[in-house]
Amino acid sequence: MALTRPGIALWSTRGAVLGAALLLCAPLLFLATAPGDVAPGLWAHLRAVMLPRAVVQTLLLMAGVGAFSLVVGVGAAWLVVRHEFFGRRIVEVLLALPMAFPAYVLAYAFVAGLSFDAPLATAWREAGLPASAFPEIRSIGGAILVLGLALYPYVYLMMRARLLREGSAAFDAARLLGASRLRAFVRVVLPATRPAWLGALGLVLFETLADFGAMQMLGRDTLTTLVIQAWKGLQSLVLAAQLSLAMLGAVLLALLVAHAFGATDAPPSPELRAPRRRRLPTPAAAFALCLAALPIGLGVVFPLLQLLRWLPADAGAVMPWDALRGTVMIAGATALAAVAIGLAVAAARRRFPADRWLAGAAGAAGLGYAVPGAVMAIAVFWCLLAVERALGPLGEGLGLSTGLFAVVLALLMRFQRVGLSAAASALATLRPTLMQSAALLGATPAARWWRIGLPVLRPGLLAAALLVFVEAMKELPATLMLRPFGWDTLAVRVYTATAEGLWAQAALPALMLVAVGLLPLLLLLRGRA
Amino acid sequence: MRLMSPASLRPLALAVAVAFALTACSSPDDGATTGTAASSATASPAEGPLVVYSERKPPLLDPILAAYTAETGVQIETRVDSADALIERLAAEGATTPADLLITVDAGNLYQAAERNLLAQTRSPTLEASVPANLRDAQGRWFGLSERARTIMFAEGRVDPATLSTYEALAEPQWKGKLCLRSSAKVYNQSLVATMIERLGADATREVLKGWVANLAAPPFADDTLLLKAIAAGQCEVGITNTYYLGRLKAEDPAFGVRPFWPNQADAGVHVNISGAGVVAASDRPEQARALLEWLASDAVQAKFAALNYEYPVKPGMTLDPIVAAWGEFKADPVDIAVAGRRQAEAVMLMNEAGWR
Repeated sequence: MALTRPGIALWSTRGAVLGAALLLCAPLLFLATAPGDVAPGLWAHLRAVMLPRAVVQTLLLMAGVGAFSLVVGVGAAWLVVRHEFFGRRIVEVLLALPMAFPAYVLAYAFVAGLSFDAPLATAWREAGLPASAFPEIRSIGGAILVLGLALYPYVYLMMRARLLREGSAAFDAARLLGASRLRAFVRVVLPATRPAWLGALGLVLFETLADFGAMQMLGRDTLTTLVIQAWKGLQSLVLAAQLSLAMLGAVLLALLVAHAFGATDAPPSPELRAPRRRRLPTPAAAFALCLAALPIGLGVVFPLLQLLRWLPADAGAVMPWDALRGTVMIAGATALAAVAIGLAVAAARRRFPADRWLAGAAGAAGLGYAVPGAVMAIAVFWCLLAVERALGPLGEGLGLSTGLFAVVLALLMRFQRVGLSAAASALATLRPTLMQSAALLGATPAARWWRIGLPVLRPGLLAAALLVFVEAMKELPATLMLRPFGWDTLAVRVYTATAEGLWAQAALPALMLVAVGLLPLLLLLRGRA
Repeated sequence: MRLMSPASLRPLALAVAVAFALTACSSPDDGATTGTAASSATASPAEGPLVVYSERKPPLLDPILAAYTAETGVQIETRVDSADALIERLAAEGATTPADLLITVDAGNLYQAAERNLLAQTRSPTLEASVPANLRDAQGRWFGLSERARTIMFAEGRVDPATLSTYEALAEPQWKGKLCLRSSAKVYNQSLVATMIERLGADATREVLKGWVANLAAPPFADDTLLLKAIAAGQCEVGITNTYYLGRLKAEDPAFGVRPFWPNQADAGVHVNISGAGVVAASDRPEQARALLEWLASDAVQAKFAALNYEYPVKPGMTLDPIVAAWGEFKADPVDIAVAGRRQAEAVMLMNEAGWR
């Protein structure tokens, strides 16, 4: 990697990465320009009545969902990577599938399926059990279950990919040295795979913080529902913007603290051989299947049955093909852009690992995650309108705020963190010695990347693109506000029906959304990512 | 500015997507180029379709607008979103907005839009004759198109309607563990409470809300349909919902065991809100927007518009859907419905203080 003019390389890299970060951050600054003042008394009311509850609920949720996702996700990944049992291949796919359901669809399936009039509760009462003892899903425990089911696949997928490369040989060595299975797992495997589960946990916590639809369905008052309530209920967009900025500040602080405690990617030590799978004896295999059936049954079978139950008999008459096209186009463009940006940023950081500017820019590029989607969409719209107006007649012709660019930018801001962390972990598999050998053999930088870098990175980058695609296709508030005229997505169709309580009309687009999500997940699991 | 039709945009958009993916990582300017490609085929505003920003969802609106196009040949394009988002969009777009008409499902939002000077004053003898004065803006900035009654619902057979009287009476201890409510985050409840504050004052309203919360049989529901099903199944005896949700359930199952009760008939009357519309102030075709509005308020359309969702036409004397007609007539609260917007924030704060989630 000979470089004749390191100064220029550093500065141009800094420039490009900072530019990307600015593009993904600048709209958030527009939150500070929200017009108007906060009416006197609103902040006092917020502090006294609404804020304390929202903070407590949000923290409880994050702790619960984080713990749930780690236990289920890491456990499931270890089960399928290290063990062989009847049905393992199918279980491996099904365990990732709850991710194809938008959290708000999952939430509604649970609320409706566990409601007082549904068969489950009816059977409970008919069995003579007290109605008051029936589990209430519209509770903090219910919310943790629903969001946990929706989000544990993050941990599962990233951990599974990591375990396929790493941790197995060390585990076997520890076992040979006499460590118990549990001890070897806790003391050897978990530390070795820390970047995977820690990175996934970060995404899970951000998603928990930002969720609106499911929390509203389950009657939880979180910081995000508070922001939306400040805007729509208290009629103060300024207050909502200020709250969003405060949330952003808190997240930034948490990230800095995490950074200070060394929560960064550890250098990987890829193992070249595939992990050995231990064949489970029949009783143990049956037990493993039962364990795996829990998240699959609750996160896939149950909501799927609900959707099928709502599906009207004549549903096939009007297939939402146009919304399907909209979903694929918008989520596809977002996924490609997210991977391109993610790869560029990760490559820059690898080239200049000690540069603080690059580290800061990379962190900033993922910040949009922390702002509720509906408020972020407004900020993006303001920002693009301001750019258009600054450009005068030229800007009006650009149509930044009305075209595909607006919605893709908003989705990038929301999900760039997924692209960044997946691209970074993909890049970690590309050993520097490989590229250095190529350089010694006289390959140009372009040739090195084209002939060695990309082939090695392809599975990891594909995984990143697929993850972003699945997230972007489910997003609602920003897509709803910023989609170009005449464009619909499946998520928008689900919303326009459910907002009026018309679940029968929502069933078909929701099922189609799950089907669209299934394809990338299958690809993701079949690849050696 | 307006984009061309979605169908012809698609191949272009694919190119845009690819171009965007290739350029997105460099700088904002590259993205801007992409925008040019997408909007180069802008139609001239005066010839393009009439643009409607609507909070009323497509299933409850599209059939009506399609009938207008069939009748008049006027093409209509809709942008659907929550009213708050549409209003912010209108405000940000200012004079350059493509919108001609704003439709919402709550008077509070129309009031907010009017307060921010986003709606034009429309003088129309037709509209003034069709829409009762309390269901439209005094300055003609918005008009109700259908009436939505939010009333007490009770379990048929399990509750004697003679024990019911007013919204306030649901706060009495006899309903302990028997009342179901929807979440206080829903604007329909906020509007109901806003009119109660107007009528009873803040302190009395707070006491009523505290009584309601103390009587709850289950945590507040996220949706009126779930609430009605909870009453039918016996989780609670009474609740407060909009009538059209019951209309839909009755259409599916005529034996569904819930009936509406019309409260406060001796005083204020039943709380009614509106789904309504106003001509956008910056519209470049206010005359055409007004024509659509007048058509929506005409006799033939009024009945259809309301019946599509078991709502009540705003125009008196229209034929009702049989399901709706079976519930009988009632005295509606004549309060100026703009109160729903004026007192919305106050209502939300009271609901929070009373512990209504």
